[in-house]
Amino acid sequence: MRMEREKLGYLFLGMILLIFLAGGTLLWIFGNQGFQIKSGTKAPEKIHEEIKSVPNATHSKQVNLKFQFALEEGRKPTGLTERKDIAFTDWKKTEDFIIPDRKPVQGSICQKMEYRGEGYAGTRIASEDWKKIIDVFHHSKRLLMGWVEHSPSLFQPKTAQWMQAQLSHLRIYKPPYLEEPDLAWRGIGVVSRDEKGLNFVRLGSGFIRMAFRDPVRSLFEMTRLVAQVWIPSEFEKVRLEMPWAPLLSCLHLSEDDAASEKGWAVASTLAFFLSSPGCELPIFHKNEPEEGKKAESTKSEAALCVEKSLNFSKNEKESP
Amino acid sequence: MTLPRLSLILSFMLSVFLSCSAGSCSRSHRVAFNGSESHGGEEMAEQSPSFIVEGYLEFPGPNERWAGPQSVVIHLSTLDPQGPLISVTPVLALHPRKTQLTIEEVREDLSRLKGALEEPKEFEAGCLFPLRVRLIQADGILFEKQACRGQKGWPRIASEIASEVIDDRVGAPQPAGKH
Repeated sequence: MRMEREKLGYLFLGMILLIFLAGGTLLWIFGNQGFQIKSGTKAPEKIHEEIKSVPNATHSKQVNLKFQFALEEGRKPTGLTERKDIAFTDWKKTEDFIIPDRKPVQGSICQKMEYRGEGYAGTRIASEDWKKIIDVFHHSKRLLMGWVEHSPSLFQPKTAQWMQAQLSHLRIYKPPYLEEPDLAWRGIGVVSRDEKGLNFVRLGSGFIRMAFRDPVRSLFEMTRLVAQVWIPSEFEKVRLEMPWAPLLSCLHLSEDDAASEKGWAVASTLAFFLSSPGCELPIFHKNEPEEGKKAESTKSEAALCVEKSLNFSKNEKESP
Repeated sequence: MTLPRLSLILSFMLSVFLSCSAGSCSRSHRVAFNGSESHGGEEMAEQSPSFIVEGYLEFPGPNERWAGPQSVVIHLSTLDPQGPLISVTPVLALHPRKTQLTIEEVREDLSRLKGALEEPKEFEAGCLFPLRVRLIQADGILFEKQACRGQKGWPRIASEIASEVIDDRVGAPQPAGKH
């Protein structure tokens, strides 16, 4: 009888141990999962919901929330749009360059040039300033459109039609943008595609400043931006024969080169010949002739080749 | 004391110990991954090796020969317990402000970005404005992704973080009015 009691006791003890061990293991597993959630592996929207319920959320959390909530509601975030419109011509001249101001001298090599923006909260563009940008945008379109119209020998009718449609459908949106708030600090323009597959232009607010300070360069940059609807990868998407083989050959670029490099080559070359930036792109810069030798032309071999193959010499450039 | 009773007490103590070691009893005293002691529930996250300690957001520009947009790189590091190290290249302000962001805020941003990176995103070959992200986890694992600017998903979060970081370094926007 006593032996049976003892056996029962050990059995009971074993079961209790097993239960507590299992409980402990489960707690250990779920406890650790709890840490991971705290460290941010849950979905961003969950985090936002969590932050929303915390009244004293940190500044960055609040800023993120403003972006998130505004996106959900399809409006600009409140609290970030309180500033009045400021004409860009009134902006301070200090600290506004990402690249130091090196105004190009005719014939010199073009440098990278970018004016700094004022950030999302600081970007408010007056209507009259935006009108100027729209004018530059349409001017760039006209330059490219006119060149296609006046160069029928270069393009198949179907290709020319598609190129003109690409230009016509291109839209431009006024900054700042909730979708790309960092662009408000930059002076560049970007071509993106919407859900319907249509291209549109977004500008950094520094670009607007450039339009006032350096109209010649800004027209070049805008034309380069607009010309991006014709880059080789765009032709590949619609399976149209690309007309840029002679241009790429002049610049010693082949099929094997990166698609982005070919894209920059086409957009930059078209912009350079149709709306000169007032300086030479490094790719078209002609080295000084050797001592004692007289240069046959002031233009580089690449520039002469492009001019000839794309009929640029026959086209009259419009002044900005 | 009989053996079953003693065993019962022992097993109870064992289970309590296991539960406490799992962190459900006390969250007040932990050793962080870098060896320093941290206190309080918030820092418990440091135990997990899956959080991001460092990140690079790169907006590369084209080849020099096109005189195109400048490359911009943002580096965020939370390895120094004194505070986050944040750098923006090129410098966007002559006199950058001392960062106002905390380690927790930067880590939260980087974790948010890492969470979004898991969503697959196709990189277009002809993209002229790429965006590269490199995130380094506490256990040394590197996450690297590339997309095109303006795409939905993680490029948008990267842009938000870049904007927040530059806001922090350059300072609040100037008040309205003429300068």
